[in-house]
Amino acid sequence: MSLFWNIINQKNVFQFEITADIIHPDIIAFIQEKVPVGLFRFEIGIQTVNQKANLAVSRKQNFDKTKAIIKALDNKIEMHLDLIVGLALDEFEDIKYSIEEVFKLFAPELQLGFLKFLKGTPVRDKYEQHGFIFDKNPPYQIIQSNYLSAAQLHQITLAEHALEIYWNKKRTIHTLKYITNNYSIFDFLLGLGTYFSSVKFTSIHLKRCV
Amino acid sequence: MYEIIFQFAANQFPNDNIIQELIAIDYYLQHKIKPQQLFIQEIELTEKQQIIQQLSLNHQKNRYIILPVSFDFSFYLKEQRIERTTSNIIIQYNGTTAPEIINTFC
Repeated sequence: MSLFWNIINQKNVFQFEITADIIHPDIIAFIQEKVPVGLFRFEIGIQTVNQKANLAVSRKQNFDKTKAIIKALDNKIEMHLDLIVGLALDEFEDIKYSIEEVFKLFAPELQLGFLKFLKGTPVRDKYEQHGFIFDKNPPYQIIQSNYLSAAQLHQITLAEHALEIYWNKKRTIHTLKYITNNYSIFDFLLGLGTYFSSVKFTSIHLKRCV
Repeated sequence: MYEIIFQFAANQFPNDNIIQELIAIDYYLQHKIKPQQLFIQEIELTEKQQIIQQLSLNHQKNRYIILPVSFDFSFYLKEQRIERTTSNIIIQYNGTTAPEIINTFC
């Protein structure tokens, strides 16, 4: 037991990859009562809030419950939330909706990952069914599908770039919270990412951004 | 980075000065040492010195920026709503840790 407390007292951070909507209320109570702020970091794979897209990959998620649990714990636990872009049945407007709904939770980090067709995975085995076209080289990232054109994917990439630079790197937290509450955060990030890419930078500047 | 987002916001939201002021606040809160002035200029030096004296701020150990803004920033942080009023934000830089907002006053 003293070893356990010794580890905790050395200011370590313990990261857990979890499914938020199945956390028991007793766990929430324990965390609120016993766990010091910043000891735990939760990585939560939300992927999409579109139920049809979740079910297409045999995934059940109650997003309302996930949101409630994140809000119940974010005073104690640092949250890292993941979304995936390119899932079957997720169209552009669905992805925009997912990003906007998840961003409103104001987690310190929101990552947009792009669907990858790793060898041996079910998504790769069934790719023709959804018209997926992906890069034949690793990491086998999506290029387009029946639900997202290549142009739409490029737009989301631009928004993701702006998200990474201005939110995940904590450069404009107050600004982006205000945008979320008064406008569309997705439209803002897309516009900003498009504007950013149109400004000429040297590769040195680009490396400094991220 | 900040100049890009500032230009973008000024072009896209020309009637919303709050966005521009928030970008400025975010910029000033990003640096451990007092940065060069961008987006919002500080209040006049004589007024700044009076305020530092009145509040007994340690200007030998720290550096300060006093920014005029058009809303109550403390209220905004608590309520996430904008209350329009002329106010000032005092940011303290100690050179080693993240800057802090130590006072906002109208």
